[in-house]
Amino acid sequence: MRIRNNYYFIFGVLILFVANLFIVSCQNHTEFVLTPTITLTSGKGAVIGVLKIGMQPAKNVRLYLAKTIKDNTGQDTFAALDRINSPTSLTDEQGRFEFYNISPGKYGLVIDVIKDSYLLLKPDSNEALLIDVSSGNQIDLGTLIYDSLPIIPQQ
Amino acid sequence: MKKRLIITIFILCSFLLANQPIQTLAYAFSNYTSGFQVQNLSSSTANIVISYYDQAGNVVSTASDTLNASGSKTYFPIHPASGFNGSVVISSDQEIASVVNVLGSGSHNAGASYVGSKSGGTNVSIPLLMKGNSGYNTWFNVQNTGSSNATVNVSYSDGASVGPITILPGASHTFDQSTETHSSSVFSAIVTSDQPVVVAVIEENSATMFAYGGVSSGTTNPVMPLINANNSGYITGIQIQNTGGSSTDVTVSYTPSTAGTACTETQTIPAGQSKTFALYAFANGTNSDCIAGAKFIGSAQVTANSTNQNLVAIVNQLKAGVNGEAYGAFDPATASNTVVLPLIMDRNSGWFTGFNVMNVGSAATSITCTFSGSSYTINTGSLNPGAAYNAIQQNQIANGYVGSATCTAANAGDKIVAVVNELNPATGDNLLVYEGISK
Repeated sequence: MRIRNNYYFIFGVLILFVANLFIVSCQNHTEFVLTPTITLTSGKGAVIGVLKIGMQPAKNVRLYLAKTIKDNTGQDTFAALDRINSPTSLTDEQGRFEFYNISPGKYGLVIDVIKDSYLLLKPDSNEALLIDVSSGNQIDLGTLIYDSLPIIPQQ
Repeated sequence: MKKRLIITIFILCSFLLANQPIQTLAYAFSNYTSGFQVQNLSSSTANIVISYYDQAGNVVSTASDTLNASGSKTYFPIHPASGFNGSVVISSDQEIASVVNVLGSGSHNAGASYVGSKSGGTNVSIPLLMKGNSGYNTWFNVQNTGSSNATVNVSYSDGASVGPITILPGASHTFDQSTETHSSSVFSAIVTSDQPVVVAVIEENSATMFAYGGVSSGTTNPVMPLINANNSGYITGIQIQNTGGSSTDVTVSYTPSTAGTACTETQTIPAGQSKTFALYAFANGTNSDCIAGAKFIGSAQVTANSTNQNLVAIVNQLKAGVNGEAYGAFDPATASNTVVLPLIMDRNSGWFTGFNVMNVGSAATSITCTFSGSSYTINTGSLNPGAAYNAIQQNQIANGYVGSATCTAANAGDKIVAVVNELNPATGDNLLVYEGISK
């Protein structure tokens, strides 16, 4: 009986914990994303997030981190995608993407549709979505929600 | 930095249109974005410098990068929110090639591509322009590749003209046919300039986009390696422009590769005008002995040109309402015995490629194509002059294959050309075509 009560107590605490996380995440207009704990290689960083079209997850979308190139005035002027060497991630059924052990630097997020590829803008503006990766840090981009994306419809 | 590559890019945002009330542009899409892929064709690391210009001639930005031997990168300009419509010049210490991709938003699936130019000309021909042609309109950018201000005039085959327009070095200017007065729905143009210029043309309706480059040098006998007609909905139109000073009777000979029957089509093209070949010949036999409605997959070449006028041509492949793409005809005189095809795919997230490699020499030859990272090879067997070999990579190389191909004819003096289609059976404008690179 005591063991069963302990189970109820632990279960109740877990429910409260998850509910609290849900409330906090709703207040921040983001979504709670469960991500595995990964030990980063020394000197590397990570980027995670969720990609959605409207309320639907963008599934099986190939993404790349394209390192930015500065111009002669020090401004980021191009994001350069190298399909062989640039970090890549495939979104899962929930639209989640993860890039781990990324060299520090500034990157653009590129969506690849094979025949073409596109630099993603911030969902709420016409500015390029640029990500500053630093050593030992994991950047959570939250949920990126777009009205539409240049991806091929799933068959 | 001896080598220069000049490309015109389009990044037209609705914000840009709102900020420029003087220039009323009626594009099919509210937003356009561009990226450009640069490939190092050499076996040494390439050091490149990329400069992009706005239409006022200002160098907006200059940046440097390196490309591994035979490697490639795709560059995305990072722009302010107000948008950008301009041009890019790439300098390199190695041989490079570039393909520009243009995306029209709205459907977000209409895209087109064209090849960057290595040099410009003072007389550039544009074989196919449209205003309200079954929903299609065109617009084009003219870029000054010279070192001084260019005075540019555009003379259309329907009698309309625009100019003079001053374009600063490196800068470009947009000519939009939908806002100009034209007496015809299909026409051509000749751009003249006192400085070398290059031209990139966009053909579009609300769902489909094509792109091609203007031609600064023609030939009396252009060749077109890939013609589809009545092929699962795909049709092809060849637009041939007579850039000479006299009328000429042009005969195009069609040679099947995997489907159809050989036939010819003859039309008279007045000086400065253009005519559409293949489209009506294969639909209803007009001006030809082609079989109306018959499936045809093969190649084409101009085999008669009665007064030896200079001709330029582009080829549009279209699946009505679904997708379309354009490529430029080849001058057989500039062909070699080796063609590089930088992007070949097999079952790559649904994408695959198919190409036609054509013998444009004067003697029969065989062609061997090898594929990077694979033991898969193709040998065409003996190909007569004017004949092409059709190869589809779907289910042929490996699941998920992405690589390149090199096709080499048997003899050093042979001449071959090739065109590659990239296809995805999914809905949307999912056809891309590019011309093989002669090596």
